Amino acid sequence: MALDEDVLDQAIDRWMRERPTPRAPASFTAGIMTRVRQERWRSEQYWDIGFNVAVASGLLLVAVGVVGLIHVSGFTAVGRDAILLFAVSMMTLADRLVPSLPVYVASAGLALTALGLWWWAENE
Amino acid sequence: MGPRMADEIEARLIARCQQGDEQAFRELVDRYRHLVFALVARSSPERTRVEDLAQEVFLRIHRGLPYFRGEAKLTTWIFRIVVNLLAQESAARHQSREVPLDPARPAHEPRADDRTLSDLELRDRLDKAMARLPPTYRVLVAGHYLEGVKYEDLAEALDMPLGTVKTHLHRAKKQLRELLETDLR
Repeated sequence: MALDEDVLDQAIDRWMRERPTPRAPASFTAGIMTRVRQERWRSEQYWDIGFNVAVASGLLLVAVGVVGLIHVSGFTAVGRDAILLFAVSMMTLADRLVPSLPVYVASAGLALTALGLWWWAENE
Repeated sequence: MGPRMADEIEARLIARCQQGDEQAFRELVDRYRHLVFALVARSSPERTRVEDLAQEVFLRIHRGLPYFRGEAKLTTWIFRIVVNLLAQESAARHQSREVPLDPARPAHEPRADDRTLSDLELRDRLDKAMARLPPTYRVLVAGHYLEGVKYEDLAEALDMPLGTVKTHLHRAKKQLRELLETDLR
């Protein structure tokens, strides 16, 4: 084959037409489907992460908003006073109860003994 | 099966794919896998990556199907994806690195005047010459010699008038011949 333009053109043409057409391997489709599923899974992962981050951010915003609102409205001061009031009243109650504590314990013991006797008599 | 019926079947297949039907996408892959594989194999100089690139074409099809409105033929759209992918690969692979026609032998090596080429050798050189063509030319030449690829589809995929495609194809073949001649002299 000499280096003649026409001959070369014909050789190129012939070879291009005659060469076997490459064919996709048998596993080609399965390979694509696997990659498609992997891609979908990855994308779902991203969506999941995005959703979780959005929910967490939302909750954080709500919490910050509630705290801010309480602070702005002076509710924190009221809350502090309420806790103090509750603590003082509990202490007062305890002070009143302590002197008569033996009487309460004795009466509770008598009541429990009476209930025990009643239960025993019923079973007999 | 008439072309109109084939179009309808294809439209139904695309609609099923767009609804997320995995089996439909499998059918679509089975329908075009040999054509895409052959086109990529003939157009890409990276022989070891042919399967990977052909799979990438289908992944892009899968990603793009929800936005495919059927304004172009599916084959046209697929060819466009192939052309874009090959152009991107080519640009990423090397900005200016050229594939030598025969890396083992220097281009200036003297040869016998009465040298003849065996078919095998010509094929090998042709493959290497093809690798040096611009991606669009490679797809044009590959598509021209592949069964099932129409000039019209290539023209639409490349956004060129039919006449321009034919001109480009002529230039691509000429360039291919010149590359071979340069190597042989």
